[in-house]
Amino acid sequence: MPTAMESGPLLEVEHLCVTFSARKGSFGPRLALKAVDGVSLEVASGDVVGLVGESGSGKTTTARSILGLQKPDRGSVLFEGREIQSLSGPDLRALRKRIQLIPQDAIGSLNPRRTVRQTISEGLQVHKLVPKESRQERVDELLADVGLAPEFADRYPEELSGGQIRRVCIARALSMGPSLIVADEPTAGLDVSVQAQILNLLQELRRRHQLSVLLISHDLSVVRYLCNKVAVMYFGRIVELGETRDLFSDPKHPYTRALLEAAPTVSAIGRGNELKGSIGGEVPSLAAPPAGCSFHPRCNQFHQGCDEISPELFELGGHRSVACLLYSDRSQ
Amino acid sequence: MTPTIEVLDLQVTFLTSEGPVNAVNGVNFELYQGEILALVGESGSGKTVTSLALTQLLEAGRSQVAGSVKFGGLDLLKASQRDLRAVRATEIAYIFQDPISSLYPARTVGSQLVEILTVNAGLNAREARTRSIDLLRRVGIPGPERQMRAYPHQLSGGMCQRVMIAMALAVNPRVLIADEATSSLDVSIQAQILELIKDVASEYGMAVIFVTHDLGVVAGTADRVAVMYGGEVVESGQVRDLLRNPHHPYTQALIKSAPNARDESQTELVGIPGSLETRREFAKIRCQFAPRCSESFEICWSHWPRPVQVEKSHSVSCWLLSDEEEILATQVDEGLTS
Repeated sequence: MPTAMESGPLLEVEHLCVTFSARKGSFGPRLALKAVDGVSLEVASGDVVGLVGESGSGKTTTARSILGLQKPDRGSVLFEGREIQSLSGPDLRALRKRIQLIPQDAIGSLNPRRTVRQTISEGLQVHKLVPKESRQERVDELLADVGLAPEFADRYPEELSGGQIRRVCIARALSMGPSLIVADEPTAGLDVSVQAQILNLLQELRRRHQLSVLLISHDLSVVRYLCNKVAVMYFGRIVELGETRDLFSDPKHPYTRALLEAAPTVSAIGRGNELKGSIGGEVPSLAAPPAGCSFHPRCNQFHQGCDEISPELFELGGHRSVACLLYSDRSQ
Repeated sequence: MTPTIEVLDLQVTFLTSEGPVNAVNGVNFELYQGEILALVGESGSGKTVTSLALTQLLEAGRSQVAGSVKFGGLDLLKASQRDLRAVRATEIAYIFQDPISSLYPARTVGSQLVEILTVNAGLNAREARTRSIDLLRRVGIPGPERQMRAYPHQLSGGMCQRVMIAMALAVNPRVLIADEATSSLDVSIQAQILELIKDVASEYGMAVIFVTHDLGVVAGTADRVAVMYGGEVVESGQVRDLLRNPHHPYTQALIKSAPNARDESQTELVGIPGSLETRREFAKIRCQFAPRCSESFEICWSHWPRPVQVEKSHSVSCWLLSDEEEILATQVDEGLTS
C-alpha cells in the first residue's frame, strides 16, 4: 500500500464551505445557511474513512462537493492532486470514472424501466470502457463480483429485494473502475442480517479492487466495522478526527462521547441501563447558529468561553484532532 | 397476577390477488402491568401485523384474524365495534414510526391534543387546554404554551414523537404499543425518546409493547422479548437471559449480524444468507427458519418444532434442543397417525 508520503493523499478536502441561501417566510430577509463550514479531510489510498454525524450535520453536502455536484463557496477539493473545480470537458469525464457514488436512495437511483443489464452497461457504453461484443460478459462479471447470479441481469428494479438493489448499485459503481467510492448510507433501511451481507461485500471488494472509500453514515456501529479512520461531524464542522480504534476506545469530544453512549447496543442489557449519555436538546437551526462552539448548548462539559470561542480542529498527536476548548490551549 | 393482555394462538392471513398469505401464525404472549415487552424481528416477521391485529386495526376485507386477545374481560377479536372503539380511544394507545405523518398536518398540535381530551376524557375546553400544556411539558417540549400553536411541520421529528407520546398519555391508557417509535430518529434523539417512554411507562403504570427490529434498543429498554420470524415467535424470555444466552439459531444470527459501536472484540459480522420467503402454507409443517439456518437437519424440514422451556420463562422453538429420542418419537408418532 503506498503511503501518503510517497504519493500524496488520493483525496484532499481543504477548508470546504458550502452556504445555502433561504428566505425567512415568503417576504422575509435572506438568510445564509452554512451547511458545511470549513471541513478539511484527507483520504489516502487504501483508506476507508467514515464521515459520521446526525441529520443536518452536513455530511451529505460534503460528499456532494467531493463528487463535484455541489459548488463550494470556499475551499478546495483535490483529487489525485488536481482541483476538481477547475476541471471540465474530457478531464471532468475522466474524473467521474475515478470517483463513484453508492447513493443513499438506492432504488430511486435506478431507472424502473431499465433492466439491471441496461443500467450497468450504460456507463460502460458512455465511457467506451469495453468493446460492444464483450459488454455482456463484463456485466456478468460485475454481477458475479457483487454476488448476484447472471439471471439477475434481465430483471427490473421492482423485482429485486433491498439487498439486491444495493448490490446492483455497487456493481454499477465498480463498472467504472474507480479508485474512490463515496458510499452514502449504503445500508440504510436494510434488515441487520442483510446489512451484514452488504457490509461484508464492501469490505471484500475494497480489498480485491484496492479501493478507497468515503463512507457516510449516521450509524457509529457501521463506521466502526468498516472504517480505519473516522471524522465526526456536527453542525457543518468536523469536531473530531482520528483512527477508528483510538476514537472509539477513547472519544475526546463531548459530542463523540455522547453519541457513543447513546448508541443502543446488545451488550448494554437491562431496563435500568439508562442511556445516560443521552444528549439533551436538539441540533440547532442553521438559521440561528449558536455563538461560539455550536455544540455548547447541549454540552455537558460547557464552561466559560465555550459560548464565545468557536474552536478550530486541534491536533492532539497520533493522527487525532479535536475541536473543543477542553483540549486546546486556552490562552489562544 | 392476571395479565393485562393475553394473546392466544393469534393468526393473521392477508387475502391478496395471488392467494392468501400467512403473516402471523399462532402467536402467544401475555403482558403484565408495568412491563415492557419487545416484539423483535426483521421486516416480514409479522411483528407489526401482530401489534395491529390486537385491536383489529387491519383492513377487514383484506385480512382474516383468528385466535383470541383477552383484555379486561373482553376478547378483542370478537368484541363489538362499540367496545373496540372505547378500547382504542382510552385503553390501548399506539405510537408509530413516522411521527410527522401520524399527526394531522392542517391543525395545530394543541388542537389535536385538546380534541382527544374533550372527546375521550370528557374534559371541557379550558380544562383540556391546561391539561394539554401539562402533557406537553411532561414529555419534555420546551415552551409548551407556545408550542400548542405549532403545526406538525414546524416541529422536528423528535418533537413530533414527543407530541405523539403526549397524545397517547392523554387518556391514561393501560397499554401503550410503540411500533418502531424511534427508528426514524437520530441516535441522540432516539435515546431521549426511549428514556421518556420508559419513564412514563413506570410513572403511569402502563404495559408497553415495543415493536422494533433493533436488538440494541431492546437491550436497553425491554423487560421481556419475543423474537419473531416468519409469523411465529421462535424464542422468548427475559431480556437478560435471552440476549446473554440465545438458544435459537435465528436469535444467535441476529445478534452476530448486528455491528456493535461499543464492542471492541467484534471483528467480523456474520450475515444470514438468503431472505425471508412469503408464507403460503398454514399448517405448521416445518421450521420457518430452516431454509436459512446453518444448523438445520432432516426433521427441521418435515416437522414443526414445539416451544421448549429452557429456563423459567425462556422458551425456544428449535429442534436442536430436542434429543435424538424425542426426535425419533415425533417421527414415529407422525408415521402412525398419517
